[in-house]
Formats: sequence, structure tokens, C-alpha cells
Amino acid sequence: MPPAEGRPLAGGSIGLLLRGIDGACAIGAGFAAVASLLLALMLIAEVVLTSFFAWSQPWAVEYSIYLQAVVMFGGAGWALRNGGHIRVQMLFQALPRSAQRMTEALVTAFSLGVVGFVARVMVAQALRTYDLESVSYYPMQTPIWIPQAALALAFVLFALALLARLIRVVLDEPVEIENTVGGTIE
Amino acid sequence: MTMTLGVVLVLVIGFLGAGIWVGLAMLAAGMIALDMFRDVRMDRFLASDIWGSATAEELVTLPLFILMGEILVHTRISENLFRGLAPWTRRIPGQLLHVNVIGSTIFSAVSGSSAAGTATVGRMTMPELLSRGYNRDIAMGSLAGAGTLGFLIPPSIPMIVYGVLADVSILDLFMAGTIPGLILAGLYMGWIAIRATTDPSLTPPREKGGGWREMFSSLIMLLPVTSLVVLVIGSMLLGYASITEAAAVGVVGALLIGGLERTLNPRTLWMALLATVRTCSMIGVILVGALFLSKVVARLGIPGEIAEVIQGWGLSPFMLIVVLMGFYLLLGTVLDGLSTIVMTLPVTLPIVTAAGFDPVWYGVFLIITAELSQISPPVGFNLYIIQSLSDASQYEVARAALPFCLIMLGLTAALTIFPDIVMWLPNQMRQ
Repeated sequence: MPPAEGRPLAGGSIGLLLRGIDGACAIGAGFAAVASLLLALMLIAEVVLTSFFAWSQPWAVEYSIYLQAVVMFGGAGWALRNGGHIRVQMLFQALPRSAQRMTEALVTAFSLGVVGFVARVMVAQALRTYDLESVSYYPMQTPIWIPQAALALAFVLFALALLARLIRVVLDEPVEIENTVGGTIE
Repeated sequence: MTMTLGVVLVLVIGFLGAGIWVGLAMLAAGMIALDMFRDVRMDRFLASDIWGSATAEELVTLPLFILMGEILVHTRISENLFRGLAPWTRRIPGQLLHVNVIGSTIFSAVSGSSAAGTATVGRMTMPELLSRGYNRDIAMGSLAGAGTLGFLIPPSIPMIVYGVLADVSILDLFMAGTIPGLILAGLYMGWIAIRATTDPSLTPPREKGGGWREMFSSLIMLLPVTSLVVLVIGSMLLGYASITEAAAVGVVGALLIGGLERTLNPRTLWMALLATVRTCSMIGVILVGALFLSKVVARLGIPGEIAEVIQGWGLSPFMLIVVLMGFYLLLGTVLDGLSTIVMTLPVTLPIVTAAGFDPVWYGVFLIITAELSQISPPVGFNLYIIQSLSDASQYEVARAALPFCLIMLGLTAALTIFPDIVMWLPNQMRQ
């Protein structure tokens, strides 16, 4: 949606909330970025140790998939803010601006419902495995609630990012910022 | 059409049309359909499915290959590709236009992204070609066509996604895409040479080169990236390394290239890591949605229903592929390639395999349709990139890309008639 011109950015408690959510999502992306570096370093170490010293690390596979989950979802909320997620906008772009705003609000509210539900079930899953003291079936037998809590937190951040987007639509503020990092598959 | 199939179709099309993000549209459609037609505990089913998808071991190479490409984007790879290839291509009809194709082919072998290849190769070639008097249409068209090779030539991100969704060996897919990818590059070069020969106004008079000495000294420019290609692709295809190991080695190689060129610093590394996170986030949300919808669709018995309908049409296997091609071309005009693959796979894969096609072959077929959607208007990501590099309208870029789209369609027909073009290499490696 094109940014509304001449409108002040939200101030007061709403502005604080929006900045807080943006900051939390950026921290999530930062963790995901560090996780991607750790994932690379860990697998490089595993390749070197296995190839040259025939010494495989039993934790490498297990922890690499947890890091992978953080890389894949930790930045989902932040990516929403900089336009990283894909959607079909053909019909949307054909609408007049007032209808665009209404549609954007409905679409964002619906998406918030979907991701909010996902976040709730992921938190419940982490709490359940904590209560059951479940451990992974890998040799390290890691308490599974720890990586599950990280994934649940990623979806909570995603839901918060959608909430912030909805508030911005209602306030007629720009919902996305310019993507300055690059990064696309297409 | 049964009630379940109708409801799922209406939900998916409705949510996508309304502008809901692709992954969330699939998740929502799956949740509603499952709640309507099956008595399951949605919360536990959904949570365990998302946890399983997010921690699927086959996905671990995805962030690594993306990171490798993102690190290389920050190096002098585009400049080196141009300076290394230009002295060689001056001697072929079409001259520097071939840099678009060969440069994209080489870049495709170190990056799984189509847009990154188009942008990286194009930001060097487009200004050079236009300033030297090459015809703008063929310059844009060749870049558009060649840029899509990133999906077909390994490592390919959409192939990893397809492999996870279809439960097919990613290594088999990588091998299956190699020969068609190289054939496609060859066909593009052949077309450029024919056009340049039949219409000399498309290219400027042949530039004088520095002879063989310049040609061989230019190879030094290509040495880092070609070494990386040999290391990553060669080790994988020859069986010396697993895909995960090859991806890890690729990241090391990209870091080394950036380090030796002194283009890699903490800032560019951080940018590459964030770009990786952005791409992974997009794929992650789409993947969990697609995997969840796949399971719901299977639980509701929809693939069987559709297979019955299609069988009722009495199509031959070849005609089935023609119908699917038409369907995907249509879909590709409104959706990006990755989304078309993940959304339709739960339904089309069982039909195609029932018709006797190998899922590895079908993966390559789908990847080519995804490539086509990259350069088909109005939603073609590569078109936007070339538009920004050339000041042309999207329609002009699409028109320039049309001959290359037709070449791709011709190749698809050849792959359908002669599936061994795709299956030969994976079959050889399996023996």
C-alpha cells in the first residue's frame, strides 16, 4: 500500500508500542542472523572434523536443525515489516486507495488471527513438552521444550508484527519500510 | 467436483485473491477445511506439523546455499565474470551478449536464486552492452532468459523446497537439472548467434580484442568462482560430499573469495546474514503452509478425487503434461514460481506419478514452469529487475524475453518426449 503522505507517525503509547514491536522483531532477525552464521560454522567444523580427523560430533545434526528453525522463522516478523513475504497483489492494486486501506486492514486482521492461533498452539506445545519433560531422540537428549520455545517465540513475534501492521493501517501510516539488505529467492 | 475439493479450492483461491500472504493463505485454508470435514484436535495436529516441518533435516542446506549466494553478491563476482568472459565471447556471433548467458550459468552454479543471478550479472552487463551499441531488446531478453537458469542448475533453492515437499532426493533433483540447464544455456547461445548472424544491426561491429594472450590472462578473473563451482557442484555430483557438506564448503569458499578480494567486512557479512534471514523467512512461512495443506489435502482424499476426474478425461501422459503446462503458465502470470509449485504439488504430484512420470522428472518440469513465471508478466520478478537496469517498460522486457520463453517451452516438450534427458544423470549415479 502506498504510504500516506503528510501524516505524523504515531506518538505516545501507541508509538512506543509500535517501536517496541519493531525493535523486538529486529532482535528476532538479529538472533536468526547469528543462528545462520553459527549453523554455517558448526557444519563447516563438522565437515573438517569428519573428513580429516574421522571425529563426528553427535550434537551437530541435532543442533543444526534447531538453528535452522530459528533461521527460518526468527526473522518472520521483521521480514513482514520490510516486505519480505509473498502475496498476490493484482486485485489489491486495482482498488482505489480507500478500498485498499480497508482491504489491507481486513487481510492483516485475518492473518493476525491465523498467526495468533499458530503462536498459541506453539506456546502450548512447548509448555506441554516442558511438563512432560520430553527429550529429543538424538544422542544429546536435549529437553525439547527449549527449541520449541524458541520457535513459539518466533511465531509470537510474527503475530506482534501483524498487530503492528494492523495498527499502522488503521492510523494510515506506511506499513512497510524499504528493504536495504536484499535477499530474495525469486 | 466433490464438496471437500470445492471448499479447499474456494478457500485457497479466495484467500490468495484477497491478498493474504501465500503461506498464511495455505495454512488458513488447511485449518478451515480440516475443521469442517474431519474430527481432529487442530491445535496439537498443527503444532506438531509445524514443529516437524521447521526441523526437517533435509532443509538444513537451504540457509547455507542462500548464505553462499548472498556473500558472493557482495563480492566483485559480476565484474570478474564480465572481464573474464568478454575476451572469449567477442569471437562468437552475438559477441558480448553471450556474457549474459555464460555469466548467468556460472553464477547459477554458486547461487540458487534466479533474481540474484539476474541482478548480479545484469548490473555489469546491461550498462556495458547498451553503451557499446547492442540492441536493447536482445540484451534484455537474453538476460531475462539466462537469469532463470538459477532455478535449474544446482544448487537450486526451489529444487530443495520441491525435494522436501515431494519427499524426493535433493541430490537426484540437482543431478536431473544439470543437463537440461546446460542444454537450455546452449539453446539461448544458439539463438543469440542465429539472431546476430541474420540481423547484424543487433550487435556493433566486432571489437578488436587483445588476442590469445588477453584471453588466457582473463581466465584468472574466472578462477575463484569456477573453483567454487567445481568444489561445490563437482564434489556433490561426483559423490565426494553430501549436499550438506557441499553447502558448508560453499560458504567457506564464498567467505574466502570475499576475504581475498577484501570486499568482505563485518558490515557486508552482516548484510549477507540478514538477506539470508529475509529469504529464509519468506520460504519458511510458505513451506509450513504448503506442508500443512498437503497433509490436510491428503487426509481429505482430494488427490484421489482429482485423479479420478482427470482419468475420466482419458488424456494420454503427454497430453496430461500439455494440460498441466497450460495450467502452470496461466498460474505463473499471477503467482511467483515458488508459490505455484508449493500450492499445486499436493494435487498434481499423485496424478503425474500415476500417469507413469518419475517424481524427479516432474520436479525438473515444475522448475521450468517456475522459471517461465519469473519472466511472464504481470508478476515476473526478473522483469522488475531488468526494468530497473534498462529503463524499459515491463511490457518491453516481457516482449524481449518472449523468444527465450518459447525456447524454454520447446525444451519442456523435448524433455516430455525424451525424459531420459532429465533422468540419465541421476540414473547413472544411482547405479
